[in-house]
Amino acid sequence: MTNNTQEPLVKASGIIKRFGGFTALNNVDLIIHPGERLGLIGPNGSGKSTLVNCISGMLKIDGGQVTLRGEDIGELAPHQRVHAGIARSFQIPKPFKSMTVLENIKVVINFSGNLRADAGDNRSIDEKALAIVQSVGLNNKANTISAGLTQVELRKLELARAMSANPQLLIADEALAGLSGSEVDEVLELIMSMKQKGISVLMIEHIMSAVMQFSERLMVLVAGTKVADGNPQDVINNPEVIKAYLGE
Amino acid sequence: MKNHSKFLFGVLVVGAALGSLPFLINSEYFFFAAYSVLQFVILATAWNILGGYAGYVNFGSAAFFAIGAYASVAGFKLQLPQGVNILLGTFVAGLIGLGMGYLTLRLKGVFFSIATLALSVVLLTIVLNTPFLGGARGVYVIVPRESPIGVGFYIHWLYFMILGMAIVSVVIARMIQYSSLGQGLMAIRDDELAAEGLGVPTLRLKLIATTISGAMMGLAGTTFPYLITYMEPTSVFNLSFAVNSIAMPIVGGLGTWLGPVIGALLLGTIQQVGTVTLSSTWNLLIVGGMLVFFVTVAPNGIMGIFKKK
Repeated sequence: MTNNTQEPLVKASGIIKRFGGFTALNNVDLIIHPGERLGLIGPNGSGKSTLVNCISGMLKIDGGQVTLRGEDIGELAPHQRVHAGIARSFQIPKPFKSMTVLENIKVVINFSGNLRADAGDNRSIDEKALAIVQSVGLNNKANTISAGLTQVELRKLELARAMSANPQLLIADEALAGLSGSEVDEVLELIMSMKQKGISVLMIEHIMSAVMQFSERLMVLVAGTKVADGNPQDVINNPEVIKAYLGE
Repeated sequence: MKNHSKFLFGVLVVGAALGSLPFLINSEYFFFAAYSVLQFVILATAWNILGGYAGYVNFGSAAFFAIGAYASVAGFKLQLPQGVNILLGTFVAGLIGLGMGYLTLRLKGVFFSIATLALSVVLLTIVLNTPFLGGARGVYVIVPRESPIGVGFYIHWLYFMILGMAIVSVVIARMIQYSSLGQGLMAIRDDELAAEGLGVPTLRLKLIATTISGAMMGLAGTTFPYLITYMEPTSVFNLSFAVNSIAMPIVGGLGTWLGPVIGALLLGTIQQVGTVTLSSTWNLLIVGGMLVFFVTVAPNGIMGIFKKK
């Protein structure tokens, strides 16, 4: 477990998000500490993706505050939040289809600026991109056009692109969806390895075995409201969580 | 292919070969036709920067072309030197490109395209109601018969200028393609949401693209009044410019610097031959037919056919 007395890396307080008359997030709080692995679960439509979209800036919040290392980032555009240290993968892989795997990575390195400007790293952008491609096991696909990748390769590319931004927080939105058993293990291992790099990870997932293996802390959203947040074992035994998943 | 020295050598060879034509060919009409083809090289290349690289379809090419032409006319009437008029037209068109970008680039897909079409209508209305620019009656731009550089006639001078502009445009387009800007624009074309979510400043890059694209289209128009010497709004805000600047990159191959050049040379030449052998009224039909053929049979254009092989 991480030391929860330290200053949070990301703190979302009282987040409210409405779509017309529908309140998707109702006063939700979320805290992630440096290097922490936080699992976020909840039934379909509970607001998980909406919450991470609010944190990454893809959606504007209607109320509340999002801070990164104590600074309000509410006014930052999504690309500016990437520069500040929050990167994400997408629930449905969104590769730059006309580009090769390596080019996909290089775009992110070039524009996120974090790896490009790393003063202690003298490698060229090509070398940095290749190292990331190798770290996710896509080295034999480095020069393949990304439109031709398999589902598991697309998932790895999503993570590789997020890693290319050299983030402090990586948000993995259902990165294991649609993968077979062995593929889940492969990608999960990759996500868990982020901790060794000092990267905090917020993972949204439906595969409970993976969630339990991954999470140092688990948070549950139900109908846009946080119903539990804490030790994973305690959370899954929480009566409200059981009710949300299994009914009355 | 990223071999810059080979490219520059190729540009020098092609530039020298095309630049020597006035010394080898006597027909003035040839240079009138060549001017038209090279003008389309610039327009198609400019359109491709926003449409091909970033995937934003601009139906307002004629408007930017007209901005360049009318800014040049304004400069001519104020007795400014031709060089200043060219810079003025390019600058104003770039500025309006930037303004259009600010107003329209939050729109996506077809809504952006419709907004660019509306720009043409707005500008046409302004020109029609501006007597200084000739209004609906049109405006004369009197040019001497002789070339100011002492080589051939005025058409040769215009040919040299449009050749230089076309070369500059193609070099800029190629530089963009292989730069971070080009990479970012292509990321926007492939998936704008993902690009923004992965650190690409999408709005800023699109604004740069609309500015450069608009300026280049304006550049193509700056010498047009000197070519036709009598300019009326319908000849400048002509559907042919909008259609050709879209069709040529599609036929040649979208998203590469070479595609629009090939498309412009092919379609531009076919139209010139068609004008002489059939009638200029057939031109849009020819372009439309070619466009339909390529969109259905070879959607990646001529470049795509060669890439597959």
